[in-house]
Amino acid sequence: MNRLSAMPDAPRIDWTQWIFPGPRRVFSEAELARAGGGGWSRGVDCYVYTNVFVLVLVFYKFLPGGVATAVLMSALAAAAASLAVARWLWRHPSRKRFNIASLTAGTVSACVPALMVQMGHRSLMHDLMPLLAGGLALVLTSWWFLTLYRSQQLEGRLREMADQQQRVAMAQRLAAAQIQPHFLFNTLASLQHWVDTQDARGGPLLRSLTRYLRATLPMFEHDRLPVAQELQIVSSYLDIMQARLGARLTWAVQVDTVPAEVLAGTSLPPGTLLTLVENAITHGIEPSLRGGHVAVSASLADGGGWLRLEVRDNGPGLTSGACDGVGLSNTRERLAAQSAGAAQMGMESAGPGCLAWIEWPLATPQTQNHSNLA
Amino acid sequence: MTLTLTTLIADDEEGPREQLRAALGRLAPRLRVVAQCANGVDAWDECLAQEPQLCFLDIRMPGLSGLEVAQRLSQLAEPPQVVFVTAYGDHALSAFDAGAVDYLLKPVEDQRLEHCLQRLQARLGLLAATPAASPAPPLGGLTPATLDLLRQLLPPARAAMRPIQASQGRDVHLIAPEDVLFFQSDSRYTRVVHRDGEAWIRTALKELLVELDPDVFWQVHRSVVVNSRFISAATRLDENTMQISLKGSSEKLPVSRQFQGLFRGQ
Repeated sequence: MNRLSAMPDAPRIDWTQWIFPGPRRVFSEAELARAGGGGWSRGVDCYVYTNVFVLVLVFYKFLPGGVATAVLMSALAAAAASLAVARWLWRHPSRKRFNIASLTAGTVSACVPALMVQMGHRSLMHDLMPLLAGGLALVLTSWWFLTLYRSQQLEGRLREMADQQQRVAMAQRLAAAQIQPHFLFNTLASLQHWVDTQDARGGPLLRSLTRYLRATLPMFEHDRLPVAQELQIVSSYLDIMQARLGARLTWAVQVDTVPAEVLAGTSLPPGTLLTLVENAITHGIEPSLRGGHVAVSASLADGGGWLRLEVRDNGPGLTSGACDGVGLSNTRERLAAQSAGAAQMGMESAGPGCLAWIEWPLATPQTQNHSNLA
Repeated sequence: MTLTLTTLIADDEEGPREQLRAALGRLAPRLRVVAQCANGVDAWDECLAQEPQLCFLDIRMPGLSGLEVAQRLSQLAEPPQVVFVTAYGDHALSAFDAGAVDYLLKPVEDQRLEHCLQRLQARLGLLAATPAASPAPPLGGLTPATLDLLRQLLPPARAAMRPIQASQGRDVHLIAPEDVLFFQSDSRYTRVVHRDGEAWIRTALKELLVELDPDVFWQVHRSVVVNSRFISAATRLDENTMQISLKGSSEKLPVSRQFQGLFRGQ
């Protein structure tokens, strides 16, 4: 194998295929469960039965008298058996299964003439022999192609899934990276100056930045993050922006009406709330000549069954494409994926400015425990 | 560094702005900072008021972006040198050929700034040595080719301007922008002269400018913006003075020296 891959172009004969034909790839049960969807088609069954029936009819007059019905019956029975084996191969295409099937079919086919001769039908068997041999060859070839085809199909699907997973992971990492550079270097510019001039604002800003980085850098390693933790990230982000923008930004986080255990026990895809807040800053506060206010709030909605998170700004509003901020569609997808489509997210004009909200279904006590464990 | 230029610094955040100013103070003590602005609107207005020879423009600013200010500056009769400042290098600027446009990364590093100042000095020396009769010097250090690129990087034209709302007693009059002959700023108010009369609004002209379509509404003076469709003639009175006559109004409007290039004839 190693030598093969070291010289991919060198023509080589794989001798194992001569005594033990079939695909090399062995699929695990987990892989089959993932990629094995799309079951066996009924159409194939119908097609095979029809063909057998028509073939027997075509050769009717060449058959020795009186055995036509018996031949038809045994041909249909053989077709049914080989289709059952085909489905078995389809479910788990492997070299082992294919060779067991081939050997069994060969043995059975060898027994038939022996049995017939012993029962005294030597001349009848002589006439039927080509039919039997041809049928066997046809069945074995079909199984062989079926096993190879199915094996390659599964391999292709698995590769596609792996690629897709890699792309999603890459997109998440990129989304994280998109947050960083502009924000980071602008913050560093302020920090640099305040350190140079021994300004008292330098210390707190550095502390907020450290807290923010410590929380956000490993953020995308988790599938979920408790709301309480996300709120802390949002607060340190707003602390930093406050230090940078000075009087242009005021902000408040209002979560008093929600019990602390709900905030700690409910988890969202990481960065969800942060993305909305960043959006409010980038599209609501920064483009505004006079700055503005960002209000983050959490509340229970619909009789306590839903957690509603809101980010409100009083900037220029939705007219200038504030809706399609970077990462918003990404956030929407992740919310939908992690809540089986239940969570809602929206963005609307709010008098002055823009209101972005998320509604997340609160878990029942059992599943809540489960998500805590996770 | 022996640069003795008047300089403007525009950045919407105090920290980076002060950091750049401090670095300039260290490296080019003879450079005189005449204005520090916290947004693009003020930067453009101060450029008209102070006529600095050098502008450091942050790219991301409220009102007008640094790129938009630079584009406006390039249309002036004597555009200043422009250096862009940005927090992250992957921005639009990487689209320019190396050296076509000066830019600094925040936080500004002394070595990089020094290099930038040396290049400015070399370019200004070259400009000073060029006799007046030779071809026009590149606009603010920006060649026509880079300006074209700049234009492509600018956000697409703004949405149609909303009607202007002018309060008069208890009434609020709505004035369609296309009916406006000209805007004139007067201390804290802006005078709006339109087809059916005139009104006063509280929005400062420099802020109104951002919403106006620059192809239709021409700024001809720091305090005057005219609807080009109503201009009937521009008259040169002497070497430095020019004025505009309008269709439908007997008022004459001044064209400041910086904007006289708008009326060159074809």
